[in-house]
Amino acid sequence: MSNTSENPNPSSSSAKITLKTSDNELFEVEEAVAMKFCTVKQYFEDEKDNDVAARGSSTVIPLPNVHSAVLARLISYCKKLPQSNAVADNHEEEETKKKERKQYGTPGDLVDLISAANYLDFKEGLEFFNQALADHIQNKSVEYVRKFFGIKGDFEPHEEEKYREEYAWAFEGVDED
Amino acid sequence: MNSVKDGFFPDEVIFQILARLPVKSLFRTKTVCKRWYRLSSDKYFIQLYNELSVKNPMVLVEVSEVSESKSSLICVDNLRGVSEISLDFLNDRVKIRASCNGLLCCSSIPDKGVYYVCNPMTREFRLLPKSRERPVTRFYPDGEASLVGLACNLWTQKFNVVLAGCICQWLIALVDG
Repeated sequence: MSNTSENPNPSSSSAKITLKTSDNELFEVEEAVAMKFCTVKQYFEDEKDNDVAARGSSTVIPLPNVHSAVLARLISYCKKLPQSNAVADNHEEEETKKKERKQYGTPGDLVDLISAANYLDFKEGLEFFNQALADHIQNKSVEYVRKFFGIKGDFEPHEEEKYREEYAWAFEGVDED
Repeated sequence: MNSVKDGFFPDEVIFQILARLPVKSLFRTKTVCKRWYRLSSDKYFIQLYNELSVKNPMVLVEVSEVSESKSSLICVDNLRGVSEISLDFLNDRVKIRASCNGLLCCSSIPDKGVYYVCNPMTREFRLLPKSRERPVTRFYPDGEASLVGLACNLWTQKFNVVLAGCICQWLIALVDG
């Protein structure tokens, strides 16, 4: 199966690059989109240098760390660039942006999106999804955050207690898990 | 709920997520584990946090009722709305004399010559070393500095406090904790 990124203007002959995900799906994406992923860009440029005989668009770039479901989301996000990372001007706008950030998937999906964006060295995507994850955990309890990230608290109980007393204000008004 | 295996995200990603949390959440999140505590206390992280928060400036408004001697402080956050904040953590009745880069310089109302530099968001404060005893003059009978300035050198991350009375002037350098 091949997922082709839609070209809104068929007459423009932009080059396509084929990406192969961990589950062996092929994605044919516009060069401009693929070049947002610095890891892909690097690979592409290295290939070009190694093989001047213009294998060109027939080159398939393997992405062994990225699943097709995640890549599809990243590509759809790419198309909304660049306005999505601009800082909101006011409270209302920020709320709209928060909702928009929520639309990309469940908090669990965000973890996959961040991992993939990090692997692909996709800066704008990382910023966006990191913010979405920060939105998700910002009103959560420490226990929730630990569970979410699969982290075991390693402070001595008395150390943690001392910190909680000192910064009691930071532990007020936390959402129910 | 999906959970991620501990150590799933590299330090750089954790930095980027934590840097997008509001101050209150950040201070709570510090207790998740020792690694996160260490990362969020890192010099690089503090710089990153400051760089991102500059994009969302807040305004502190002091509201004083004519009839009452007490005034209240309202924090207007562009993104998160309006909230009331208090300087009660100083355990003193104070007057705000200067502000710079999120820090306030306050003078004690009952104790002349007592100055604090505080961060109203983290509720951390430093009592400034008492300046040498000032002679009570007929111009400034209560020994109160007439001008108070707070300045920040972003390069060195040092704050300077300047107090000026009618004849004396001195500098106190503080390292931002």
